[in-house]
This record gives sequence, structure tokens and C-alpha cells, in this order.
Amino acid sequence: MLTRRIIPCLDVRNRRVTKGVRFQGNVDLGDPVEMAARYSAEGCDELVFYDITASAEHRPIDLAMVAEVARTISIPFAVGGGVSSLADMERVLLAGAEKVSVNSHAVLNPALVREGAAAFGRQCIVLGMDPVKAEDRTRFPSGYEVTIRGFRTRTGLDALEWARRAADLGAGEIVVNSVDADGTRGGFEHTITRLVAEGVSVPVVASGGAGHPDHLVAVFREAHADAAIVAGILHTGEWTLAAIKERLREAGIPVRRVW
Amino acid sequence: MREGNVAGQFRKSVFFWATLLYADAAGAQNVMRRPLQKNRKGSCSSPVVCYHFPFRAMITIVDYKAGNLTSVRLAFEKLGERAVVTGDPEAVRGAERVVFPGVGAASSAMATLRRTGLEEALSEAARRGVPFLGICLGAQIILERSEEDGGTMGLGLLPGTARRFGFFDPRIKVPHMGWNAVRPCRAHPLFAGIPENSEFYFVHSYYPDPSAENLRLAVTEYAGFEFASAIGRGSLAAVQFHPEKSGRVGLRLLANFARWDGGC
Repeated sequence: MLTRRIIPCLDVRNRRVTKGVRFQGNVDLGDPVEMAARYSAEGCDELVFYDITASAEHRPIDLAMVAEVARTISIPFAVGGGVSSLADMERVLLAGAEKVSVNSHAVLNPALVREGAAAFGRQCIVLGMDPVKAEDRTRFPSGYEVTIRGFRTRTGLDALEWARRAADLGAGEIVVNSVDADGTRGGFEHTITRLVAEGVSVPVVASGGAGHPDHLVAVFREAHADAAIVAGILHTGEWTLAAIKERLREAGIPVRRVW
Repeated sequence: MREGNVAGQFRKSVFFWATLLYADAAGAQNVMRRPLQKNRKGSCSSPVVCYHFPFRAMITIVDYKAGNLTSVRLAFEKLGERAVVTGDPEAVRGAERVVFPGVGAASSAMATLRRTGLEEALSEAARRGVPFLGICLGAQIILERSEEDGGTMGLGLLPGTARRFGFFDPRIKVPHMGWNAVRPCRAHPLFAGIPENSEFYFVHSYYPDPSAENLRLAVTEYAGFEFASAIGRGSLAAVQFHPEKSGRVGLRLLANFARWDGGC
């Protein structure tokens, strides 16, 4: 049976992993390569690295770090942050990443998703989206609007509409990162995650809000996510991957065993 | 003065070869050191014979522009194996050990194989009986045909067809992406020391459907449907999953392949 994936997320800035609540008050958590090796050994199913400030500062992704991670671990990992061209994608993939994540630049230039899927295969192209609750149901039928540039800019796009369009364009996976839940550790945002999970034919990853293993049980069961991103819950050392997986297994959710 | 240089050169040379030997053994032992399970049936009993540096066959990774080979190459590097990535038909024809990876569309992959002369070279290498491992798209196009792109002829190294997952329930996601259990149908050297139902990493929309039951080496279940996740005959084996991205069990499978004599 296909297992549900648990994906630790490492926000990298100047080659250090940081974590903050809604991009405020970041704290230093450690070396990205060391953390990747540790989580991989502990049994995470995949990893995602966001070069969180790359987009705002127009800085390229740290390819040396990507290559070092690829030499260190043997599980899939995705890299994102300011990816704006086919050349950016190619560099990240050739450095050894399995997937490249696009977000703001896919909204600004949707052809990027189509061209990336055509050039490298759709399994390589992850669409990250940051939906926020929207009151105006006529403009936003799903009740959520897509934001870009780390929640700083609203786009006027309906979240479900955009997810469907991105999947049609060639995105092989969609990460739904809720601005309202991000960093709060109070549980995932179920409504939009479920709408997207049931509305597209590609795997959907829930992101933002994991603070307890039961939050993962709930998002897998109720929002039908295929995978879940975790950050603070692991980074603080409060929970280990083994403990999270044990809890999921008890709840009847299939998870990968580690030998 | 001159003598000192010669001695220095000699010392450097000894150091160089010692380092290579050490790196080879250390790399291979990373995976082999801690056995995954007690039963090591099919594995080599003498590490001296298995890991002695100059006598290990070079692994030829076939590059036909179907996807990114970085992780395949890195996986063999992690194991301390000597591997070369090449698109040269002559190199493939004379290879001692062939890895045939690939992702993407069957039709464009086959067109490239024909245009470059790799189709003939791969068939010849397979005919010679050298250990041959197909991965992902490689496991599909070694068959006679694929349903992809309205029907595509394959290499025909094994009888069968690559078929698309045909689920009626639109909620079942295609591609099949993620970690899923692999259950070997019989003992095979590739799966030596790997616990039954270990999860490997998959990402694919088509699956190999060999025309005879005894060509199925392992099976995997997705959404109630069982498909062949590993196929093979004689010195030819192919896996639909990605061992190079499947953590320790994946590296173990690749280490098994690197030591496989092609018999089973």
C-alpha cells in the first residue's frame, strides 16, 4: 500500500536553517546538510529546502549546498526559492535535487510550469502555493486567494482554480501552504487542502501548522493529503520522526518503515 | 636530492593506492556493515574477493537524455563502486555491467536510442549476458511495446507491454508517487538481505506487464491493483521503482547488483 509521506521542511538562509512564525523572528537551528542527514537516518520520506529569502533578495539558490545534500542522503528532496527560469530549474536538478519547487514565479509566468514539465518531466515540478482566506466568494469561489512573495502580495487568483490550472500546465505535485496556519503549530488548514486534494489528479502536500502527530493523522484522514510537511515539531526536538510515525501507524495510516 | 624525490614519489604513489583501496572498502561497507536482516542468502561470503579494488567490474550507466542521472551516479559513488555515465554505443556494447535508467516519455526515449545506435548496443550487451539493470522508464522500454503515445515499440529484451494505470476512480492519483512496499515473488540475488515488503520510492504512470508469470521478480499493490515492480530473466533485471532514491534498502539493492554475477 502506498504510504503517506512525512516531509521535513528546512528554511535555509545563508547556509543555516532558520524557523520563524509567519516569517517573523527567525532563529538559527543548524547546518542544513547535517540536519538533512539526521532526518534522513531517522526515517523522513523526503525533504524540502526553501532558500527563503532568495526571492526577495534576488539571490540565486545555493547550488553547492544542494550538491552536498545530494552526496549525503539517498532519498528524494525538493528545492525552492526564487526559481524563475528553465536554467534555474536545470541547475537545481543537475546538482542532484529530485524536484524543484516554484511558487511566485509560476503565478507571474505560468508558462514556466509547462516548459519545466516538458523539459524535465512533470514529476520534477512542484507547485507551491500560499493561499489565504478570502471573504469575497464571487471572486474567490473556493474561499481562498493565492498570495505570492512569502504572503506579501495578493494575486486576485482563486486558490482552487490556480491549483487546477497548474496541474493542467504540468505541475506533478502541489504543496498547499496555509498562511493562516503557518508556524502556529495549531494544526493544518483542512478546508483548502481538501478542496485541492480532491480537485486535482496529482499528489497534494499539506503544509503549515503541524504541532502534534495527531495533526498529521487529521490532515491525512480528513483532508486526504498525500503527504505532510513538518518543521517546528521536529526542529524543536519535541517529537521525533519515529514517534510521529508510530502515532500514525497506531491510527491506521500507512507509513514507511525504516530498517 | 634526486633520490629524495623518487622516495617521495613512491610514498605518494603508495598513499594514493592505499587511499583508493580504503575508500572502496569503506564505501561498500557503509551499506554492508549493518546487515538489514540476519539471512544474507545470495550475498558474497568473502569481503576480500568482493571488495578488492582493481577487480571490480566498471558499471556503465547509459545516458540517452531521458532524465537526470545525477542521483544514480551518486548512489554508486556512495557505495564506493566505479561507475561511468556514457551515451557512447561502443562503450555500452562492451560494458561489463549495464545500468539503464530513465524517466519521461517512452516514444522520445526510443527515438533517441534508435538515432544514436544505443538500441543495437543495449541489445548486444544484454545478449552477451552481462548483468543488466533497468530502472523506471528503463524497466518499461526493455519490453516489446508500450501503450504510451498511442503505442511505441520497445527494445524487446523481455516479452511484455508497458501499460498505463487505468483506474476508474478519479480520486486515485496517477502518477503513483511515493514509497510503496515491494514483495519479491522468489529469491533473487538483487533482493538478498532486503526484508520482504520494504518500501521503495516510486514515481510513474505506466507499469511493466511481462507476458509470463515467471518474469515477475517482485510485485507492488497500488489502490487495490497489483503490478510487477521488478521483472527479469537470466542476467537481465529491471525495477519500476528508484533504488537510487530509496534510502538504505535502495542502496542495498544497488550494492547487490554491483556484486551480481548475472545468475539467479
